Amino acid sequence: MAIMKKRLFGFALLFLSLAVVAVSAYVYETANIAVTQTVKNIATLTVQNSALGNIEEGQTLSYTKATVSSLGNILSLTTTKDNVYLHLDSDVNTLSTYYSTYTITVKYAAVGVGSSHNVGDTACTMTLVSPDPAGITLDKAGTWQFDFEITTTAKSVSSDQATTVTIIVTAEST
Amino acid sequence: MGKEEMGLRKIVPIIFFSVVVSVWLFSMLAVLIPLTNWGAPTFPLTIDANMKAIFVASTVLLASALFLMSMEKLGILSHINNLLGHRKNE
Repeated sequence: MAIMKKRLFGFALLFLSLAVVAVSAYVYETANIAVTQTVKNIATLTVQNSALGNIEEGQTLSYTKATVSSLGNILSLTTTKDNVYLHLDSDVNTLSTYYSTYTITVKYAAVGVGSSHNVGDTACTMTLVSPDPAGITLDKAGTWQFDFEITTTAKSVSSDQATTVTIIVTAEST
Repeated sequence: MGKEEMGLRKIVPIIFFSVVVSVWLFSMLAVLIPLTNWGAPTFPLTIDANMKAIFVASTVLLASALFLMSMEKLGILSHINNLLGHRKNE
């Protein structure tokens, strides 16, 4: 019985040694793949009209981080090298049924040290006719943060409508 | 062989094994944590080359130690020792 237990323990240790090798190989390979990635999905942001509050037909309202706090620092990224490109792809064009104006202005809230961009400058704008703007160049390594400012004008609708804008943020390095 | 020396011979491998397990776990976390989406995202991702080297070295040490321990428990190590002893005597 004692010999049997000893052997079982031996097989368990053998299995453990193989498991250590397998887990380590997986972690090492995953790390290597992640380090060599040149495009990465940074975030998927959703803007729901319920978070912005009521809007009447024909009314134009603007929302900033002062009125809707979640619009401040909505996007944050730390870059480890110069000249990283940030792409924002939205589906704001799908809201043309409910809005005559839906403009999302992306502004710099923090920039990398030595950058040619200034805090408060407009980085890009997403509109009903141009939902996927040109990429934003993050010219210096560092911490970058962005605020959103939204302006909407509601069209006539027969009942309350729930709307959502989805923005997919990807980063690209050369 | 004194009692103290016997005790030391038993404790040293345990300390060595514990250190190797700790280093392996710590270095694996150091490599893994940047890959997770905790905190602000970082791009392009960088992982310290020294940490990767420590991770590989501790993996080799830990896997070897576990393998030798399993061989000892299965009786294969003592069998090899016996065979080598016989050859020496011949």
